[in-house]
Order: sequence, then C-alpha cells, then structure tokens
Amino acid sequence: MLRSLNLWFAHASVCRYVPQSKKMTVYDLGLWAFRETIVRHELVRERLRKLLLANIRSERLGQLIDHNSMRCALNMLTELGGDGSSIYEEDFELFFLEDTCRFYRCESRLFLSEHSCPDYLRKIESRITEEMKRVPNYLHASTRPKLKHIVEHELISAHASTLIGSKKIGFSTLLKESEYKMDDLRRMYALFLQAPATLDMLRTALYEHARTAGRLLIIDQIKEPIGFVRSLLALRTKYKKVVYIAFQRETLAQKKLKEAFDSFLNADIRCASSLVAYIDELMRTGFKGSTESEVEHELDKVIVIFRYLQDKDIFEVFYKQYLAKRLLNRRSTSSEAERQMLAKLKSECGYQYTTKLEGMLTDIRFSRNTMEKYAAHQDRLPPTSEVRSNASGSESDTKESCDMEVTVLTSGYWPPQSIVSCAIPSHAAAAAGDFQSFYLEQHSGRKLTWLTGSGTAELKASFSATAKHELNVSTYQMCILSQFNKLNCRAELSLQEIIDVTKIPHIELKRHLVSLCTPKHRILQKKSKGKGLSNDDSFQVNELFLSKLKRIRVPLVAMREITPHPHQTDHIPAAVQEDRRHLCEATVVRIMKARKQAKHNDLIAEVTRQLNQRFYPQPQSIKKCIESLLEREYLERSSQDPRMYIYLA
Amino acid sequence: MAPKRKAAAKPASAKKAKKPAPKKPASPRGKAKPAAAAAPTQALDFATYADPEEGFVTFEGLEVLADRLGIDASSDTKLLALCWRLGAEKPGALSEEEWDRFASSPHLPTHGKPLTVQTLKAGWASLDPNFLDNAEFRPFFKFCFEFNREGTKRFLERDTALALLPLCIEDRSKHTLNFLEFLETKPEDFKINRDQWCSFLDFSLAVGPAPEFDGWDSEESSWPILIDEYVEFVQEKLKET
Repeated sequence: MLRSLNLWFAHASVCRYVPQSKKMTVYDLGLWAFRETIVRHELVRERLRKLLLANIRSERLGQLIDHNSMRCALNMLTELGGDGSSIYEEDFELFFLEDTCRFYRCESRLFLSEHSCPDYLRKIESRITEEMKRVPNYLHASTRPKLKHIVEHELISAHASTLIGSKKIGFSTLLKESEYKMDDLRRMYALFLQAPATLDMLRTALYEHARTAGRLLIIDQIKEPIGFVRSLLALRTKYKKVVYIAFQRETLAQKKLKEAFDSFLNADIRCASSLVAYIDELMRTGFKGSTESEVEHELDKVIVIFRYLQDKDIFEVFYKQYLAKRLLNRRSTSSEAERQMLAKLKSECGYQYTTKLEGMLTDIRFSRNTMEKYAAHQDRLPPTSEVRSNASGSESDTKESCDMEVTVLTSGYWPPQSIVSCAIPSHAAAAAGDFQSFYLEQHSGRKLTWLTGSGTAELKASFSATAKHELNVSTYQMCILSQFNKLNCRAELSLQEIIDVTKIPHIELKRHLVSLCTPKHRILQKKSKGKGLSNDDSFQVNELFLSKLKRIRVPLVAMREITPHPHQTDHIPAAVQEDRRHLCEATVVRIMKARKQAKHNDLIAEVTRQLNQRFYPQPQSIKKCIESLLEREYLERSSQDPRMYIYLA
Repeated sequence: MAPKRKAAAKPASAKKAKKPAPKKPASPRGKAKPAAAAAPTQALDFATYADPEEGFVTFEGLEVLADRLGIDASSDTKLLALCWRLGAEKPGALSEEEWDRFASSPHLPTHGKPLTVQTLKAGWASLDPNFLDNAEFRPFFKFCFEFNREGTKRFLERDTALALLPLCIEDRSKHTLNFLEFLETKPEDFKINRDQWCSFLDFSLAVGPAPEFDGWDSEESSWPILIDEYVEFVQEKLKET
C-alpha cells in the first residue's frame, strides 16, 4: 500500500519541475486533491496511521523496519500540509506522541519495578539515544523537541523521586558507595540534566545525604576529636569527588555541599574544639619528619574545615589555650609549622584575628634571645660581684642559686593565668631575683610577675646512698619537696604546715601532693590510706623509693575539681560570651553614630553583617545589646516610630 | 504620686521599711496638716504646700491638696495630670517655678482665674487624661513613669509598676490584665525601665488583644524583650486552657 502511495508521490513531485508559476496552483490543487481524496479518505487515513505507528512500535521492540519508506511516507504527509492545516501534525504526530507517551509510561513502570535503578538508568540512556535517532531517520525535525520532552517526562521526571529515594540502589545508596558507583552517579546526573526540574531534587538529596552523614559522624565520633576530624576530612573528600565527577563540578551542587557541611558542623560547638585538638596533635607529633610541602598540604585541609565554622571566636579561644600549652611545655615539633598555621588563619580572617597568637610566638622567640643575653651576662660577671649579692639579697656568703630558664610572657596575649604566687625556696628565689634585675635593667618600666602555677624543676634526689635520681617535677612540687631538705630523714610534715610555708593555693596543693604519693611514683609517703588526702594528713620522704629509671618525670594526676577539659563542654565559654557582648554593643554604637538613626531591622542586619566574619550573632542577643544601650541612654526610640532608633550624642 | 505609698501598704509592705521616706519624718509642719474642712477659697500658694526643708512640694503636700480638693490622692490620675501640666521635672517634687505655672499654663483650670483651691476644684474634671488623644497621652504616660521614680533611679520597682500601670493606662490598653498577671510572675526585685514602660503603651496601641495579637510579628519584633516574653506568656497560658 505504501509503495503505491510512494509512486504516486514521486509522480507528483515530477510535476513540480514544470515551469513554476502556473504549476504552483496546479500543484497545490493537485496536492489538495490528493490529500482530500486519498490521504484523508476514511479507509486510507486510519490504516496509514496505524501502520506507521505499528512500525515504530516494532522498531522499539527491537525489530528492523524500513526506514526509507517511513521517511518517504512522513515526508509526504509533511508536504501535503499547507493553507493552515498540517497533515503531519494532525494525522500523525499527535497520535505518535500519545503512543510514545503510553509506551514509555508502561515500559518504565514495568522495568523499574523489576530492576534496580542503575540498570534502569542504563536502559533509559539507551532509549533516549534511540528516540533521538528516530528524528533524523524518518521523523520530521519539528517533532524532535516534543518527542524529547515526552521521553524525558515519562522516563525521568515521572520517576525522579523513586530513583532518588529507592531502596533498590537509589541515589542515596549510590552515594553511600560512591567510590564504586561513580559511573552510575554520573549517568544519573547526565540524565537528570536533560530534565532540569529534576536536578533540584537531586541536589537536595545530595544535601540531605551529606548532612545526615555528618550528623551521624558527630554522634559517633565526637568524643574522640582526632579520629573525628580524620573521618570528617575523609567524608568531605568523598562528597567532593561526587560533586566533581558525577555532578561535573556544577556550582549549585558545590553550594549545596557547602550548606550541608555548614549546617552540621555549626550545630555542635565541639566541632571547633575537635579541630583545635586535631591541629594540636599535628603540631606535637604528627609533623615529625614531614617535609614543608606535606605540612602545607595538611594545614590546607585543616583550613578547609575551619572555613565552615561560623563561630570563629570560639575556635580562637581554644586554639590559644592549646597553643599556650604547646609553647610553654616545648611540645611543638616545628615553629615553622606553627607560623604557617597562623599565616593561613590570618589570610582567612584578617590580621586582627591572629595578633595575639603571633604575639605568643614572638614572646617565645624573645625569651630565647633574652636567655642568651642573660647567659652571656652571667659569664661576664666576676664570681664575687656586688651586683650579685645585692640581687639575691641573702645574708649568707654562699651564693645559693641554680640554673634557671625563663620564658617572659606578655600578659595581654596569653590566656589568663592565675597569678597567685607561692613562696619559692631560696635557691630558686635567688636565681629568679638575678634574672629579674637583669631583665628590668634592659626593659625599665615593665613589671614581672612570676607564674608559679606553671613551670618545671629538675631536682637531684638522694633517697639513700645508692638510690640517686633526677626528678622532673612542677614548680609547686619543688616547693613542697624542698621543705623536707631542712628536716632530718624521718621527719614528717603535716598538710597544714606545708600550706603555711609554701602558700600554695589549696586545690592546687592537693593535686600536686597527691601526684607525689601515687603508687607509681611514691616519692612521699602519706599517712592516710586510699587515693585522697585528708585535712590532717602528714607526709614523709619515702626512703624505700625505687625506680629503674635515673631520670623520672612525675606526672600530675587529673582531678575532677579542676575545670573540665575544653573539649568536653558544649556551651560557649563565658569569656567568649562576654567578648561577644562587648563587640556587639560597640558595633551598634558605631553604626548608630554614623547613621544617626536606623530602623530596627536595618540595624540588626548591619550588625550581623559586620560581625559575621567572627561569629554569628543571634538576633535576640543583638536586641539585648540594643536594650542595654537604650537603658544607658546611648540610644532612644523615635517618638513617631517605635521601630526607629535615634543616636543620642 | 500617692500610689507609690499605697503600694507600700499593699501585701509587699516590707517595701515601706526599705524605701527611705523622701523627706525627714518628724518636722513640725503645723500648716501642712490643718483640719480637713478647709476654707474653699484657700489660696494655692507654694508656701502652703511646700516642705520648708526641701524647698519643694512633695507627696505629702500633694496629699494635703488632694484632701482639700476632696479627691483620693492614691487613685485619682488627675493629680498626676496636674503635676504633668505643671511640668514637674524631678520625681515626686514640684519647684516653686513649676508651681507658678498654675497661673500661666493654659491647660490648667486656674489659668486666668483666681489662684484658689476653689477654682481648681471647679475645673478639676478638665484635667482628666481621658480627654487626651493618643498622641497627647504618650508624653503623659511617660511622665507617670518619670514622676514615680525614686530620685535619680531609672526604673520602677515591680510592685510600684503593678499599682501604677493600671491606674495610668485606664482603658487605652486591652492588655492590661494579662500584662499585670505576667508581671506578677517576675521576682519581687524585678525592675521595669522607661523603655519597657513606654513601649507598653505603644504596644497596646499597635497590637491587638489576645489571642490573635494582630499586628504582632514575632520574627522581627523590635519591642523590648519584656514585651516579647509577655506575648509568649499569654500564648502559653492560652495553650494550657
């Protein structure tokens, strides 16, 4: 049947090549006649259409059909269109599209119910390619967009949420195993890209997945900060890969990932302190033997996490505490690494963020210089110098002194230290006095306060004729132990006596004393039994002290009364809250001074904007600051509009 | 204003012991406490009512005046309105200069008339704050706060506010009862500051009554936090019932 029609058509086209002008009308007439009488004839019309569609259907089911005759027939229908009616569209395309719709709706549903999502994705990928080929093969070009739309809709959009959420290896499952399933993820993205409305769903699913994974990680591992940060870095790498490879580095996907990390990292303050602990570990031991570029690489990863943190002021407080400990206890592997870290923090947050931290590093360096100068100064002094005996102030002739290494800290930079001084033994006092006069000569106008709560001492201890050891103890312990020097061997000292002479604060005293009485390092024997001390306890030197080591470092026991390790709290430290209040008020005053008046919402927005670099100010806190300023008459409300504030000069 | 003293007489009577009386207790002022039935044509002079040691007319003097006018000093807001119109600057005190405004202020019934208690009594009703429209009422309401402070303090004690607020605001607020209930939940040493006091009026004019609180925007509220807490309090209360 088709063939005969083809022949007829060929005949009609031959007629075309007869001189144009007249033949157009004849041609048109011919076409019209042909169309009305034959193509639109009841018998022909339906059959033609059914045949065409049946062919397409067969091809979809895998059979081969005659593309040529299909093309010719469809061309014919196209050509027959004109004067307002499109035969191709009305008699064929409409039905074709409907048919396509039904076919794919059916197929996709069936396939999806029986196969996994990745398989389904592969299938539709091939189907889409196939359909698109159909256009150049025999369909008219105008059908392409409509066909594309239907195919996308039936194959992708209609099933998007199933594909994402399905347990049969849906998007979520693929993400979980993203290492192995990158191809599938990539295919999914590429397909969804063709139906842009579904892409948003995909991105949201990515966000949800990352956020949930992050939250679980926190619940699981936050108690172990170092492990937590390592897992966190791994998590980030994993998702970054997904975005780069599967999502083709798409900006919106990157943004969603950032939002996900932002949200779970800032929900828990312990993330900030974990990061600090992780850096501490790197500085103390992790960087041993690393090259400069390795250090750089590690720190870069750390900074990536740092960027997500909203409350950068909390991070600073913790970092300062850890840094102080590292510096004072000489635990840093490399001062270069410390400097590198600060440089990175500075470029993230501006120089003000790191001035104090840098000041701490500088203090250490200066102290070393000072010590060198002091050593040179000591060497130059003749042994019976007047200066010396003046400085030590002791009445005896023997120059009791000891070697001392001093670190001078600028008080504004370091975390607050308690400055209650205890009474130190004369040797140490002499050395301290010497140094102090040397230092104050160099820097007149400064004031030195000795922080006896920190510091260590090395004592040579002879427990018996054979047992001689070097003990590395804290300053307080040195004070305690040297009290026994003046007494004979078996003498006892009561707790109260120790307090009276050394003037060490009670809680600290207990801690340092107990550390000297532990089973492992029983340097002193105490009368009371058990772990704790009683108030009327007394102590004596343990003559039977034994140890395999020559040099012994006496560790301090942890006591629960001491403030909890920063890592265990999940509240904002009080110092930070106070700091924020001041900053907030200062910012409000500054803004109002410049603007003279401002509406409530504008003021809140501007304050938030200015403080955001450092921390996120809750609108309620800003409001509290405003109210405080209202009460202190820095501001007032406008009488016309209670939402407007006016600056009172 | 007398309400302060009356509040001391109420349950929180411990307050009276705490607050020192604004002037010396035992000064002989025979002229300050004459017999109740005073001559109606008594002159309104400063000397009659002022406390000679302070040099001001204080709450005591005002009580005397109230007596003669036949009004209750603790509950009649017209007395407060009087002090307001006289432009009293210091809390609980009227200076001679301010007193002189009896003659000069057009808002007072004694303007252009003989300065006697009689005249004042005759025109007493004109002082009623209810005649003021909302715009005029605002400064008066603020004055109520200012005048009842203690010295240079910038707040009112909770109990003072509890007594004073309903008196001053009268019918202009639909929130009064709820707000008083809310204030009672605050501890005894709670203090209310000027911003909170004045905002209560503005709030009452801008935001509809419970439970809808029309015009209330919890997200972007620029009202003092006390007002926010008040709204929450009422909403919680309604949830429970």
